[in-house]
Amino acid sequence: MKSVRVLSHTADVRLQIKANSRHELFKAGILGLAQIISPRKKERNYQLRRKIQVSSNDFTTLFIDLLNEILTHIHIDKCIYDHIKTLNIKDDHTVMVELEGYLISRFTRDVKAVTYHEAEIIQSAAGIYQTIIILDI
Amino acid sequence: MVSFEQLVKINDWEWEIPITTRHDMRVPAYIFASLPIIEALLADRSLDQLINVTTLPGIEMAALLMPDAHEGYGFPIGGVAATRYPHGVISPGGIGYDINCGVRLLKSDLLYKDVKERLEILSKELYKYVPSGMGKGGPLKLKINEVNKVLQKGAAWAVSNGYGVDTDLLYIESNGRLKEAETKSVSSKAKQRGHDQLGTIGSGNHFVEVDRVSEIFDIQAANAMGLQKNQIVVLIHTGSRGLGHQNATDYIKVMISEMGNYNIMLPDRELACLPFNSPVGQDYFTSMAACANYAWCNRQVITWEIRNAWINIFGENAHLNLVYDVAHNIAKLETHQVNGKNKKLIVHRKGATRAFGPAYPELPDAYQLTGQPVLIPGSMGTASFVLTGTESSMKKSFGTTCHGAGRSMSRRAAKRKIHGRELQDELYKRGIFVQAGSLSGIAEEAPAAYKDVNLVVEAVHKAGIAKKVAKLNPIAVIKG
Repeated sequence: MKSVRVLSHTADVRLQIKANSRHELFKAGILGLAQIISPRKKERNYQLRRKIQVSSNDFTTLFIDLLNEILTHIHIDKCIYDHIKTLNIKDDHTVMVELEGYLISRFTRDVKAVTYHEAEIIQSAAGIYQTIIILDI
Repeated sequence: MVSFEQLVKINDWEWEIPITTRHDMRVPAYIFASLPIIEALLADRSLDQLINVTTLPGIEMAALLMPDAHEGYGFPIGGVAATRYPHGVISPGGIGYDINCGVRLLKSDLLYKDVKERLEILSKELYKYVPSGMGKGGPLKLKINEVNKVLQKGAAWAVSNGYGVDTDLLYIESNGRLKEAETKSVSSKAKQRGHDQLGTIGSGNHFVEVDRVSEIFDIQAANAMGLQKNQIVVLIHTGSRGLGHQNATDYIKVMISEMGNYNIMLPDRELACLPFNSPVGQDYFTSMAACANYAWCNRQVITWEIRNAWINIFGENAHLNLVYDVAHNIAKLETHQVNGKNKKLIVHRKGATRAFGPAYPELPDAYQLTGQPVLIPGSMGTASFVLTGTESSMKKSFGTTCHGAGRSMSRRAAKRKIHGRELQDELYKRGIFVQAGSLSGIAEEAPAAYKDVNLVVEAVHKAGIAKKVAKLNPIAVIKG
């Protein structure tokens, strides 16, 4: 199970992300970000592949830092990375991800940044991992 | 959430959140607003975020909130904080991701009667000349060494490359260049994102707008600015684009990891900050200055694009001259009086406009008596305003006032309630020609999604932190 829900925010985009595991939560975040920037309408041919590695102080900052790193490459490459080939999260708060994406001439929404505001990965008593993230629009 | 009972009314236009409201506050918070605006602010998290700002190490006097405020992330939008130089902190979140987002006003020598029959072709010509939209590049593709020159020289780079004239620089805040800029403090990723975005407005609430001066409130100040009733003017609202966004992202990440070394504990990671005189604090400030320079250069190149479109429609003799260009997302080193003493401060303005009163040395001669022009864009179907800074704004708000109407409805709610095509047609019937990249973008930016800009401007005017000069009504709008 993984889900991304858009919640209300006066000016920006507030997302609630839930998943059965930390691994799935990270996947949901990556795909959710891609969907916000350019909702996928049909099957695409993947033209670019990119490996990204990020290290942080804890899993919440790791999650936000990873999404920001992907966002950077979306903007520089003008490419929507929405296919996760591999995702490896280590206990030392390091993540390695291999992504594939398709080139795009125009985004549906310009996301300036993934913010740390309200972000906090927590695990419920039922074992569900969840966090809020706010995208600066 | 802060409740109405926790606020202390100072007068009809000023409110205080006392320092005792929360245990970690270092200073009180002051809000410039009328009662209806206060009631609206209580509906989201703006005031809680303002209290968070009062916890910044080294903050002086108070955290301030302008009447166009709304909830943001870290700082509320419309937030102002001044910290002590050089040991107080600098916080990228107090500036925002769009470094030196700001507004420029150009004045034409045409009246409404001269343009009203050509508004549709004018709006289409402007849309053709000014690149807008998400992730869209502009006419210039710069190599990194040339990006470095832009970061160092700001608007002067554009003028020296033929995208303006020397007199343009006189009418830009800080003359379009912060001398503290260091190109080495800006990452290569940020430079890569900025290499093809000069001369672009982007998306969201950014725009180019042609307006008619519909009302003059202060004849002396209007004369100083060269504004008269029914004159046609042009507003530009944009910032440092992807380059500035990347720079903020880069430094917030570093500051979060370094704060522990300085024993800084904050209620929100997005407020991440470091002492101004720390190595990373200095790197951030010099990089922010470089991004601010890029933004001024961007608005200068957009001015060149608009001038070209203008000449195509109105002929070689039709001129557009600068009234002023001012930032509303920036941190500056300024000296202000606090408790009767002059203090050098790091003034953070996030969605708040510098509003310096008369006799400030940086201002051009034309504005020495009136004070600095302040440009307040409304939403595309309502009004925008020109104001001036006041002596009172220097005493009460570190020379700062509001920056716009301020959102009141989420983008999602706006899209649910408003149809872009219907709104475009309705504005057309009212004589406002809108050219935009997407209909959903028009719906998100609908006038109904914003506060009443008249109430916002009235609040700052009555509070004395800016003075009304002229009202502008849109007649052509270009959006991303």
